[in-house]
Amino acid sequence: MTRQIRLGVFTVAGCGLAAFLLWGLAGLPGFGHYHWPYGNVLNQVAPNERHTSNVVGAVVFDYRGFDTLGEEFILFSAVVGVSLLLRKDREEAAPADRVRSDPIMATGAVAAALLFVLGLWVVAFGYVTPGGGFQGGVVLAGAFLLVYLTGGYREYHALTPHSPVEMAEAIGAGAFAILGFAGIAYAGSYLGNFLGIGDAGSLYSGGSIPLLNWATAVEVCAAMILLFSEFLKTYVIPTDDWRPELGPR
Amino acid sequence: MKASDILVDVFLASGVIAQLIACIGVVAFDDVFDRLHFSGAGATLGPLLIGARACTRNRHGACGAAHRFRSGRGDGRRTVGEMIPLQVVIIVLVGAAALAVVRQADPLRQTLVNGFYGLSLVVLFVVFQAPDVALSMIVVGSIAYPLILLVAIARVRGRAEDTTDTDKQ
Amino acid sequence: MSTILAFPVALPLVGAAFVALTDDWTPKAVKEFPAMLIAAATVAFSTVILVRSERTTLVHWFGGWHPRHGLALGVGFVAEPLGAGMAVLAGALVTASLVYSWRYMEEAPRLYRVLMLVFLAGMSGFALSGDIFNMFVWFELMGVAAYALAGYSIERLGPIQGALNFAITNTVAALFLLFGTALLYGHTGALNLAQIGRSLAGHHAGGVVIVAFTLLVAGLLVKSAVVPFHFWLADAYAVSPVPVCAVFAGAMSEVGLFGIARWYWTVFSGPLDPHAHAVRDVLLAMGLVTALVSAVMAFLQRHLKRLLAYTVISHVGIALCGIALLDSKALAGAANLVISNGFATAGLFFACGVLLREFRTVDELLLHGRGRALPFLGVVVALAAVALVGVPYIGSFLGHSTLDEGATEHGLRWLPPLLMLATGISAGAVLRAAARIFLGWGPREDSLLTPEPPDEVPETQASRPVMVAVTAVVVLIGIGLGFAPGLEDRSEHASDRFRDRQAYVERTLDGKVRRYGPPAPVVLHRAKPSSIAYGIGALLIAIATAALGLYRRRVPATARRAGARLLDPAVAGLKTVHSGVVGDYVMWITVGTALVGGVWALTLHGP
Repeated sequence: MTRQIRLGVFTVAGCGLAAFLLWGLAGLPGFGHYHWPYGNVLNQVAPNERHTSNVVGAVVFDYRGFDTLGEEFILFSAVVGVSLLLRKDREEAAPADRVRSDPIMATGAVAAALLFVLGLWVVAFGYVTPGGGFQGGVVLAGAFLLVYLTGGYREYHALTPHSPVEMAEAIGAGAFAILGFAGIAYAGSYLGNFLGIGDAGSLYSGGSIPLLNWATAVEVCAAMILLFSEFLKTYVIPTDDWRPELGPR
Repeated sequence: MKASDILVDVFLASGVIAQLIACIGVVAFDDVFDRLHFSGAGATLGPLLIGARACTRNRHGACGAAHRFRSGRGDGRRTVGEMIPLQVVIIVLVGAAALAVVRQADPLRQTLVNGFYGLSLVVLFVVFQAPDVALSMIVVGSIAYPLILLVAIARVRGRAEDTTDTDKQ
Repeated sequence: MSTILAFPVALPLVGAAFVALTDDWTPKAVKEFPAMLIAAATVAFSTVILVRSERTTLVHWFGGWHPRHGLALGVGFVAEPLGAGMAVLAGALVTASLVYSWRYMEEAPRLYRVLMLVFLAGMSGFALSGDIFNMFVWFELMGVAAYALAGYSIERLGPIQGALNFAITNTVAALFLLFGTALLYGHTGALNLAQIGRSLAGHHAGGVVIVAFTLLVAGLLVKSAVVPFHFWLADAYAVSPVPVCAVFAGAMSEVGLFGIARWYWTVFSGPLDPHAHAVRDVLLAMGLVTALVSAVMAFLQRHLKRLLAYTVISHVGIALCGIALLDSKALAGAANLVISNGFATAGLFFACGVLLREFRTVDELLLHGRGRALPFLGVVVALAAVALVGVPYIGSFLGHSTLDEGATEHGLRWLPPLLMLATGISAGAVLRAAARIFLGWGPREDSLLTPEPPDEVPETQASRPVMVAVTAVVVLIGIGLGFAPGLEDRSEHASDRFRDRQAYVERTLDGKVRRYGPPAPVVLHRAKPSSIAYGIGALLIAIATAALGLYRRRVPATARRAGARLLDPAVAGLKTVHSGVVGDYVMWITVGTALVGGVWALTLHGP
């Protein structure tokens, strides 16, 4: 089948499909016409029964926490899959970037520290203000990445030794699922809330949401670091006499 | 009309215009570094102005929603709204940026354009009052995804160059 | 306690994290056991759920968020026998496959085990979930694990292409599912299946409902590989490691079919029932074309894994016909078919693995006669082929006969003979390969069969006795289901409940518990004479197909030439269409969805 035929048929079928989709979309309620009870009931229940002021956080970690368990494991297995598929590429080596600049490194160190604190904040207040384990976890991983960008592979590698990060990822993912079992033991349902609900608007609120939130943060941060490491390893393993096992000199 | 309302409109219009110019710039220029200027502007100036607008007029912003809720007004009544011009503009912008991503054949440039597309989505989420999703989009769309793509592209290119080198030999 | 519903998903997930964490420290001698034990425990929990769900439908609300005033707040799992049975099937095949692959994987065995457990969790979750977005999450989890497993032998070009084709087409499918889910949420404001079903019931099907239905069904048709969405499957199966193939073939495609049935009866049957004939006709046509086309494609292959992949697609087509009849008997037939064919096909893939270990190839022509060294395996393969045929009272016969009865009750007397033809051809292809390999019959060359690049098999420490034993056990289970007394009544009863939307909705949202009587007394399955005739007919067709494949040259030259003139263009056309280019595949998905959508837009609309 030639490219022309394929594109031609695809264009015709695609136009048909687009018209069909538009027909469906036309039947949806108009913009801003939300007249179902679901969202409003959640807005009522979350602050009153869980004392969470960020309802989105409550949806992610409580009402639909089971979805989050699955999503967390999608990330987990994506990282496992990447390390499975890239396992062959390790031996080949490419030259590392040798450009170094002290001002950039100093700025990078400060920025990385700031970003790290920002990440912690986004995670910690995830159920009080917008944010949460997923977003904060990536910001935390971003701090480590900044070390790579401004410092170099050695510094990055020394900061993120492979096997502890891998362990952290498994622990983070496993902890979420195990907290679910704690819910069975103490609250009678998987992922049920088994802690006091605390004061609304403070960090001591939301019952077991904070625990799930932090488990997610650990998993996401470790997963992102592992993902970068896997890709970086195939790209920038230094060729000179330095070997990763020896650590930085 | 109060002064704050005018301010709001000014912020809004200038933010959207800045964003549009950045979008056009990213599409129009060929050079990676030229494009970086525009995607940089798109990353900072537009969101800053639009964010400023959101802060000035927080009645309809995210904080406004929380406020309404605490005062017990989110009581399941029908909320009917209509699309404000900003929302229309941002939807068009996202569509244009998505088209730009698809139209770009070179993977490296595509990554840059894609980063810009991610940012326009961030603005979209903010405008549609979904700050949590916007946060996710900022970190995933403009940190995680482009970096992974860049490393992967660098890897593939490195390999392609290796093979052409050996071919020449 | 309904908390048991969480275990088939949560246990393998905890297990995956546990294996990832501890595998490096586990002594080499026992490295393989944690994953096997976790998978086995998952099967045990699923089986308990299956047994309990026969008496009443089980519901578990995660986080304890029970519905309030009929409004579902959280995510719920709802277990009735068909869903629980799907979870048991997935668990059993993953367990068998983990036992089979004892020391099989030379590289990255830890990651392999982790992914298998995650894959199991995804399938169980999809089978048990009662929430459409939750089902999407498990669909994605299944997909991510499966793409990586399919690309396991990444150092070669074939697996990269196969896994990429798999990932791209299935991501398009996931996009369809997500879009359909979004439309339903926009239309009804609910994600719980029962809730959506309740709010759609009593209204005419409008554009939103029809588009959502089309997208959801098309997404799952890609997953379960129905023509014209099926192209990726053969590519992916041909390159995946054998233990992974067995699970893909036995459970993954079938999970997709299960989803279609689940969504039709719990969500869409309200508005679409007045137009049931339109739904039936489209699905029936697709199922039939799938069954026949891929049976022929199976006959044209010499690469055993690809051949088996096409038989899997053919079986999916037959099972889709069972679902398409929209009737309890036929649905029960489809369910039984899925189980017995699932086990038998998994056994055949396992047998491929043994051949691969011994002779380092799965090319039928290269293996000519070499299987004589493995007589026991030959017997097992022959038995599996017989189970696929559905010889009276053996293997898939139970499913075939129930499906036939369902079809006859609907007045579709032409359907069973066509299904018999498809079954016969695809099983004949398997028989032909078995005769050539294990008996050395037929010529060593056959230009009709599609050549395939040679396999490069890594060395493996796997133990042959373990592999053969697992193969035999799995095949025996597949065969034995045909005899299982009382299974027919139980599956029919389960299908009745599966189709009862009212009961499902009331149980889920209002907590109205219905108790179902004890299963009917155990009686031996009595098939109708026509079903027995179809079973024997399928066997005869299979033998004839195999003989034609082996001894085509003995046919008189004039007849052969006439046949060639008639069939060659069709065969060439089929081979061209199965191009291996992912762009073509996506084009076919678009064409298929647009066509199905167009037909349904015209026929399902209006009162």
